[in-house]
Amino acid sequence: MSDKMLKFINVGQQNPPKREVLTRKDDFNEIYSEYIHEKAAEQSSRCSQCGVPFCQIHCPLSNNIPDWLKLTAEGRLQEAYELAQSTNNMPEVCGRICPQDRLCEGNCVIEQSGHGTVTIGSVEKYITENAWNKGWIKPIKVRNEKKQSVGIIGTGPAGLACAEQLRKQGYQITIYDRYDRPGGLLIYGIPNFKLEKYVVERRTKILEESGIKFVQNFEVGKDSSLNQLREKHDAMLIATGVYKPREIEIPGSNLKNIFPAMDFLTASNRKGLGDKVELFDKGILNSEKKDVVVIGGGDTAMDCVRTSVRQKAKSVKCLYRRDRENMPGSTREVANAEEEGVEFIWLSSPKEFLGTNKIESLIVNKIKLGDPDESGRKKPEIQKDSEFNLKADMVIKALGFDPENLPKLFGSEDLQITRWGTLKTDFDTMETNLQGVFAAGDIIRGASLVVWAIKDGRDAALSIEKYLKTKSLQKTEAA
Amino acid sequence: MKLYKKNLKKLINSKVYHPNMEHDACGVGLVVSTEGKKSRKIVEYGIEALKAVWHRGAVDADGKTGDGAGIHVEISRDFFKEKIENYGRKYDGGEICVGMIFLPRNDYNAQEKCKTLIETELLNNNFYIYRWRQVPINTSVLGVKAELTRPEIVQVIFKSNDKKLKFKELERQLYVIRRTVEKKALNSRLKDFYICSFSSKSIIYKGMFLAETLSDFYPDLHDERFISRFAIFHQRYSTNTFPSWDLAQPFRALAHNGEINTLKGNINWMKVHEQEMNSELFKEMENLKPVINSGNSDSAALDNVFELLNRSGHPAPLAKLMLIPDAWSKKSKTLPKSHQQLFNFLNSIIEPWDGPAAIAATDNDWAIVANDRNGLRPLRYIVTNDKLLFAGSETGMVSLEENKIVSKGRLGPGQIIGIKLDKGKVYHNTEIKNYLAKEYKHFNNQIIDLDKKFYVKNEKRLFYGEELRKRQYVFGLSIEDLELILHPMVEDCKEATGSMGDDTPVAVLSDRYRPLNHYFRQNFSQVTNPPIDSLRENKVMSLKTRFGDMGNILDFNNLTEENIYVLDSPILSNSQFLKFKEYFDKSFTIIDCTFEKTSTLKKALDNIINLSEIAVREGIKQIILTDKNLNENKIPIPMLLAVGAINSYLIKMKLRAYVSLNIQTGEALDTHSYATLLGAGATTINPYLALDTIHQRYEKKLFGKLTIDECIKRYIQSVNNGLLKIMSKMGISVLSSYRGGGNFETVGLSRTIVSEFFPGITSKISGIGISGIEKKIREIHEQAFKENISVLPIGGIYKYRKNGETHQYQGNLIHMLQHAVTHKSFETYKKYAKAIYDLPPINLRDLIDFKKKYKNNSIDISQVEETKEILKRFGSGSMSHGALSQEAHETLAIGMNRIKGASCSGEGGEDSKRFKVLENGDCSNSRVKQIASARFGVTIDYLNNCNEIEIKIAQGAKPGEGGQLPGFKVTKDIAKLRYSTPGVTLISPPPHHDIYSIEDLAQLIYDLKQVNPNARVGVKLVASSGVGTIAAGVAKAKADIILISGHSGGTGASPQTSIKYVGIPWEMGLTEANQILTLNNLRHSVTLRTDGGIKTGRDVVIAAMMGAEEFGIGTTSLVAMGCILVRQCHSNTCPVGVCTQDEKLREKFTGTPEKVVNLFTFIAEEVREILASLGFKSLNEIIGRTDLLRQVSKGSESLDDLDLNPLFVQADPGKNKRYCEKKIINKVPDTLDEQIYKDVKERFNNEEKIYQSYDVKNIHRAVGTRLSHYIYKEFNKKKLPEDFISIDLFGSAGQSFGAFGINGLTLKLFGDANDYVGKGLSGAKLVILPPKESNLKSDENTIIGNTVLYGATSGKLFASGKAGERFAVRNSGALSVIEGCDSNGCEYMTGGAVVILGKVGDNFAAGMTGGMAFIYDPLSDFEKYINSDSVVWQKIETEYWIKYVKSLIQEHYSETNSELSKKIIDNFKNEILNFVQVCPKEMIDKLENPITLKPMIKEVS
Repeated sequence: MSDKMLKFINVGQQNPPKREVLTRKDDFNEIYSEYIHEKAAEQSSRCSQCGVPFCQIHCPLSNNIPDWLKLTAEGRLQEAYELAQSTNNMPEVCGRICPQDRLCEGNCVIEQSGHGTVTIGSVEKYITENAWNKGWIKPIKVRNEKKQSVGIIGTGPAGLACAEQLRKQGYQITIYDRYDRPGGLLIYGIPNFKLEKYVVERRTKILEESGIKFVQNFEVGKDSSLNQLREKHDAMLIATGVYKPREIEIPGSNLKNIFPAMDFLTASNRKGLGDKVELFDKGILNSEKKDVVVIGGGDTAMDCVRTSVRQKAKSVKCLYRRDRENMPGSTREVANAEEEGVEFIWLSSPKEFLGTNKIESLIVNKIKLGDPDESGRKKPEIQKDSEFNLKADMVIKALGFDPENLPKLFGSEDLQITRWGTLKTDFDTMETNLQGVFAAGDIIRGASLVVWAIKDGRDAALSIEKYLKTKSLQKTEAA
Repeated sequence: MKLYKKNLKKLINSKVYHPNMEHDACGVGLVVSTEGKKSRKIVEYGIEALKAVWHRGAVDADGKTGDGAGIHVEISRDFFKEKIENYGRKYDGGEICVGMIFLPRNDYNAQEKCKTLIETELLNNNFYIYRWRQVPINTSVLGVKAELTRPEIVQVIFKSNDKKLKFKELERQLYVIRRTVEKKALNSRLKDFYICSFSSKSIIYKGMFLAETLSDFYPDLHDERFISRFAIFHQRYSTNTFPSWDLAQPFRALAHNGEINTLKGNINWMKVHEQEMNSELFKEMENLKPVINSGNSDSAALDNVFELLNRSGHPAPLAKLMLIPDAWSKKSKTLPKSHQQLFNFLNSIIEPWDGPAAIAATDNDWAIVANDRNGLRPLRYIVTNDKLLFAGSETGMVSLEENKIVSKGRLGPGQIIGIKLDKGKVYHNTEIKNYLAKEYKHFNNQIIDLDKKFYVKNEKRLFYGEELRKRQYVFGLSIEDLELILHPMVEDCKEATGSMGDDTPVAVLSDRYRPLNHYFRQNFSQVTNPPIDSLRENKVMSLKTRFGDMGNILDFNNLTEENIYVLDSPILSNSQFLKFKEYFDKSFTIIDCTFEKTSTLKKALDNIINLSEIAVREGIKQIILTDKNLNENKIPIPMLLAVGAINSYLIKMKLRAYVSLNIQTGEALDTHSYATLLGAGATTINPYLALDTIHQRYEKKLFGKLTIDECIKRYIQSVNNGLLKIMSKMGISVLSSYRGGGNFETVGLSRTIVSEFFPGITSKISGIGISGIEKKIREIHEQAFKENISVLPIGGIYKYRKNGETHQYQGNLIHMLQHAVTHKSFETYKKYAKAIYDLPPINLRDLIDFKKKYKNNSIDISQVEETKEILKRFGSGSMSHGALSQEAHETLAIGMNRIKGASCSGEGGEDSKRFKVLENGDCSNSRVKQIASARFGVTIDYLNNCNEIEIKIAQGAKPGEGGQLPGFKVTKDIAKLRYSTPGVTLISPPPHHDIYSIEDLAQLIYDLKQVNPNARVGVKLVASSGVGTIAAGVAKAKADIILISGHSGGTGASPQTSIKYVGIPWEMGLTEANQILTLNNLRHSVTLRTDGGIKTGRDVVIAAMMGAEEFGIGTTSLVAMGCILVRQCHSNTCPVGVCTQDEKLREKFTGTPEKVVNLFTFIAEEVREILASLGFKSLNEIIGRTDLLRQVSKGSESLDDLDLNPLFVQADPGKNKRYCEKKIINKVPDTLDEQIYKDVKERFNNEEKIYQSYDVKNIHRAVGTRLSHYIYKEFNKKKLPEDFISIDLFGSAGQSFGAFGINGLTLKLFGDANDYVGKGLSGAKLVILPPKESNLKSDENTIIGNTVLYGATSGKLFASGKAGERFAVRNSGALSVIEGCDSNGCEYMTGGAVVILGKVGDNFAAGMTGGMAFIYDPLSDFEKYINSDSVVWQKIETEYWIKYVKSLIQEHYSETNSELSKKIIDNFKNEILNFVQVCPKEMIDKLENPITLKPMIKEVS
């Protein structure tokens, strides 16, 4: 064993510097700076190089974390990057936005035994940023172009990962996307302070240079039906994500200034990208000087409250019906939000929106947690006579997303869906009931993490490759 | 008897057992005239001596059947003359020839055939037969078994008609006739026909009686006319119990005590030598082939070759030097150059027969006794003034008057004494070697040392970039291989260390690509022979590689025409390989070992075999096999397969002798891969891919400032060291005998492949065949050439990776189990157990299930024996405090004590505070105390606070290896327990230095039963093929428990390849042990235990059905205490405080006794559930019941036949139980102590000192040990005053004199003592001095034997004379003064002090990390003998130490009256300048009293 590792015994945990609250609140830039090289090496060297690496076990992508930590500690950054990218198509994105505290870092052995986790996410980000800076990340050079082509719907993480994997094998890839920019949620969903947009843009650029065709502003079902695309390509992948916001059915929900989270975040992100956004400029989707209430406890809710802070809201409150321990969002994000001045009102649920035309206040119920339900989480129950009133100029609903009605949207009524509206796929092959049509990401698993989308995209690529090989074999045999 | 034969046949037929697995060891000796006179006395002394070494043999349960004994003496002319004349024949006064013959006893027809065979040959060769004589025997001394197997014993008495035929020619002709008869008998399948001796000079009487009844059985020997110039005698100890009369010794040329470790290689190479063997002295060579009869024991095989060499003109001393040479290649300081050259020459002629060997031999011209290169067997000799020389395993074998003794000595490593019989002149070691060196000097310039021509320089790579990566991929290399295995070999210049056991599938069960060498498991030695310490005893080891034509071993003269090429190592770098090719220019053939995708592996193999044959027949001397021509369309043949195929084919075609097989391969990376290639017959290896990979890493600047040449050298160095380590595990010290020896066994490799390509390798479980191998290599080849592979696979063999190899300890399983034991949830435990059962198959038992029909028999669980009964059968493995943290070790012990299970101290001592019960009723005392090779903290106190003592012979993770506890882990506490110094490295030697052989183990067991008669003694073995016979030997040695550990057992630190590739699954070892113990009627008298990766109740039940009655669960019990398989035990950084000595980390420990109790309770509960479901009420009912098991899976589709049937074979136990009913303590005979105790116990209570005196003999072993036990019990650890009990003894004391002697006891011996004096000395004072009437010079007189003060912790030893090998080995506290010693003195010493007033032998202070030594060196040549790796030495400089030495010498003088010590004291001022002080380097800054006042210490380079 290299004597460079196992330093957790005498080297303490240290995250990259987080910018001061006062300054970071003023802009949309990322709040963590990068490690300097020595720091990254030092922090990587804390890894215990476990016989059973729980970090990797709990990483959806099974990233070979101990191995690239070792390479980083030894200063072998190019190899570290190569290893990191071999299991992950966008390590720089995962390094930034994965809820590591619930995945790798949360399960880190030295964390479990009380030494403080290895800062895996930050090192991952460091490795990849360094690779970008050094110019190691280059377009794919295909040596054996294949004739078969694959159409992919959606340029989110699942679609991009699948595209890249298949392109490496020489397939012709076209990605269709209804937005004007590629990246899906990575562009319009996640705020800059977590993921600056250049990060996504340079990824998509390199994919473009690798020979992947991006067709933007293309709506399947309108610009072309799914079946037309199927004829054009040898295989298809649906990776649209889930976009239908979950609603809250209480009195007053039709009042103005109550927005779905994605509208709010997209507007903010577009502004950041320099677009003209009318509703924002008019002050409607802008929380400046407003009392903002965000409903929900997931990562999207965290994005909304922290965006509001940066838009200079007068106050920002987050309503969540369970308590801190039981919230789905990353605890690290909650901590960041609290630092930035967000007030969390745990165990609370809106009962009614009040206002004449637009929202003015909410009536809120207090909640207590009952016995666990079938999902194992404690069931929220309304406490009697616990109502209180909360002033609000703007309410953002971050209650989660459901799939859109794809069969209808795509004009492909025979496409089978599950009772949750997600696409029905074969568990092993990820193929839908339509031959040669595969699906990946949120559209099959429901709203989930970017890292799972990448994982799905990669798995789908393997499956599609197998499918295409059989197909081409059949063709040659037939010929 | 019938049952035995039935069982034997069954076991042999089902490939469970092969008689060649048997081992033996013995007592041996020689009495010879030093004036060339025959005498009756010599024969009588021989017989008497045999009576005094009976304890070196073993006795069957009937009390009479021995393992064999015999004597070799000259033919008495008068005696046989009478026998001729009595028969009515006329004796013509010429040479009388006598054949001593065993015939099939009850088959008269066969007897006639045998006799006819002999008569025909004799008559055809112009001999005259006087008569056949029925040899008188007295069968009443025989045991039942011996009698039942007794042959018809006859003599054929004859003469040569050719009067001119004298001595050597006559003997030669008799040899040819005997060999011809033997061959014909074999061809006509005449069984039970054996010729003991067939000579005009001498005769051998031997048989399966106890040694002391030899002359009673053969009344001939009582005849006064039986006179001789020599008598060679032998007493055998065998691991089997089936008496084989023919295996009794002496053999025709020699009698051998020890074991030939290189036997497989030697037999193979003899077959090769037979190809070129030729001599003008023999008309027809073919009759002498094969030289070694199949099925011969190692000693018999050695005898075959020895005899052949004698008869072809090589006298006995030369034959000895050829076959059992000195270690010479690294002994330039101590061996004269001419001797080195002689050995260099002889070693290029023939491979050494390596292993422990004390031999007594004769060619009827010479009588010799000699020792192996390592001096591993005791050999003492005495010369008397009545012109006799006695030599043998022990001193005191014959009673001699002291004043007759002229000199006493012993033979050290490689030494020989020879007596030319006709003159009676004694030739000492140096004289013999000087003479022979001169004789063969003219061959020296023919030896061409290629190392001087092929040095590593300007290393170039062959491949880089993508080309390299694809090759790495094709050969299955992973990132893990490069980072974890290859890198340290360059960076640290040694093999990587890992920890914890192997929990991955055996190769054949893996669904991934596994290189062919993964199917090979390294052999290792246990019990019957010792492993060697390749580091500390490196001087005896050698990788010398010779190549080209092998030459004729019988006639050196033709050698003058050819050069002999040698290299120091078989590993060639790229630059060396280039030079190699240039040097041999056109005289080599390259064979491409790749094949087109469109072809098949089978065809490819046929092709290369063919090409190799053509090459050899064309006269090519160098074949190069290469796989570097692989590409997208060409697949490499697994090189191991290629080498095995060609080597075995060339041997079969009698062509191997003419050629070297040089390998250029991408397959070699770790040390195991090299070992397999060499073991399959490779001569040299150029590992181009590993070297190119190093180049790649060098270019990435990963090796700091090292140049590429340095990197390559370091890699080759670590491969070399690794090879030495692998060889040393087997006790093999020379590569030439290891090469082609196939010292492996395979698990899961098709039997067809093994028998065709790797003949001689054991393969019990068949599996993957040619088509399976082909499928795997095609798959990986295709993967490698797939588009865009930028990164190698991650690996996962050594450490778990999610997309890598399966491991049994997986993250979720660990958490599940920990949850279960923390919350006492049996349900969660069951989930965990189920999850384990749902894993893909990893162990052989995963292919096994209970038979269906029993599954319907279920009974109610309340009927099954209680949980607490089952819990008693559990143990928690043997882990030391040192490996584990104090918290973990104590928690585990408390937990185990609560369930009345067995916790074991491990090899590291135990704090005596723990021997007491705690206030809350708990107790952290380990019920089992381990005694391992380092003997850390093994005191009389320790040994008397347990009810079981476990002798750790081997450990599953690294059988055949020692260990090292690095200084940073030796805390204050650890140092206290181990009697050493904090911060100073502690070494565990590979062997127990008092167990080099089975009779030595019996001796240790004897010693332990003396020191604590109330403890059961267990012996821990590691599963390997042949472990069954070893277990039988161990049971015969009176062990009470035998533990069979599987290969997957854990370790705190071990070389990675050892964790992976040594030992076999316990399923195989356990079943074999159970079968062979049952076969030998021993199973019911010994408890059988198993461990190694047992995790669940199902595992326990299967183990029980396979024959175990107790079960060890080590790693899983650590997991219950919080271990999460970080596998960094060796780094002292265990994050959960289980396996670390770091105080901060120990705070993180969260284990509790409850968790331990819960774990074992759950397992026991599961056992009960399974028993209930199968309809059994107790574990006893299913022990050994393999008929309840069946194989339910044959593994992957692509395997040939993975047949586990050998595991299910049952031997019939007859009336006995299939288990050991009671926890019995097998009795050993009492020694003198019982008498002493009887005489003194009444006076124990008096305040007065006690004094007694006795006569003592060498059959009185462990004198003082049992007495110490009684004293311990009586006085309950009270510190007694010095000399409280003094015993004077007169005579030669047996082995283990004063072992574990307690303080207050003084033993004063007037005479001498055998091996192991003061073993484990615990405070007693031992004084040994020559009797008053002795005329010997004390510093020339060997007074004590080998391995003295082994593991002593306190006490004193004064011996006025010399000691043998390994004086004060691992001494950790005793003080001693002696007057000289042989090699390896003070080895591994960690404490105490020794003063040596005489010469020391070679390799002094090897591995000495503590204590102090002072050597009287008036000749100033000490420098030659020291191994200064771990010590410094200098004149004694400081006042403190000068006084210290003086007081010790004064004490020595006052105890022994030694003249030498008086001389020194009288002139102390001057004499002190003649002393050197030896101090361990690590101690220098830790001494209270510094050894120098100068700032710098002189260091020897």
